Amino acid sequence: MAVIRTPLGRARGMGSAKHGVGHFIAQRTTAVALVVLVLWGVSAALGLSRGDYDDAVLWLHSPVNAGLLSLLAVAAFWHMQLGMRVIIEDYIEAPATKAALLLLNVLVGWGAGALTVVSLLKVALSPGANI
Amino acid sequence: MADAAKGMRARPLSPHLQVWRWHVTMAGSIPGKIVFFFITLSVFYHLANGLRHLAWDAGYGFNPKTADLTGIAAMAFAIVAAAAVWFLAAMTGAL
Repeated sequence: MAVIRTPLGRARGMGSAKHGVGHFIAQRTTAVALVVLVLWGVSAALGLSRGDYDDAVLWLHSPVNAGLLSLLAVAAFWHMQLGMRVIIEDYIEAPATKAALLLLNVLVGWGAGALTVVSLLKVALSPGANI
Repeated sequence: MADAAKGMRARPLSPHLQVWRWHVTMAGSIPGKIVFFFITLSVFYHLANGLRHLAWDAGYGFNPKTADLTGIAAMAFAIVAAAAVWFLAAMTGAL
């Protein structure tokens, strides 16, 4: 069969980098995880609202609670970052503004996630209040 | 509540309009609770509507009548769930 395409066309026609659905899958995976984690988080918040600061510190000393809360934070900020990315890509036209906002979105997502996880680990690993 | 058992100072109570004179920290506290209630509402609505999107991704629920019904269900769930959470919080003395 005769090749009609130019060499440049053929090189460009190699196809995608096969990462196209990564965003889609990550958005859905974090969504499914967050259904469970958010419901757990709300019930945990309800329970904690009854007690005082010491009760909350003690609660966070449990590896299960600290682990699930870390997962909730990471999944939530990841999901937020993925969603904001779509909004920026879809609605911001000016290339410079779009690039700046996409960069800011990544930095805020990672920054907020790191701050949250380090902060709750600090409480989780603290010697604890006067119990 | 649990504070008394531990011999601790009672936690500050919410502004009770009948017995407290108006002061500025009250005006700070009440909008805060309203905002936090709407955050609860937003979280539950986002959760319910996200489930609709997951169903749509799987190819279900595109029938217009079904889409209307699940849309109303998501809104109703958000209102009921947020109200239930705040009611439970009030019942357990968390407010």
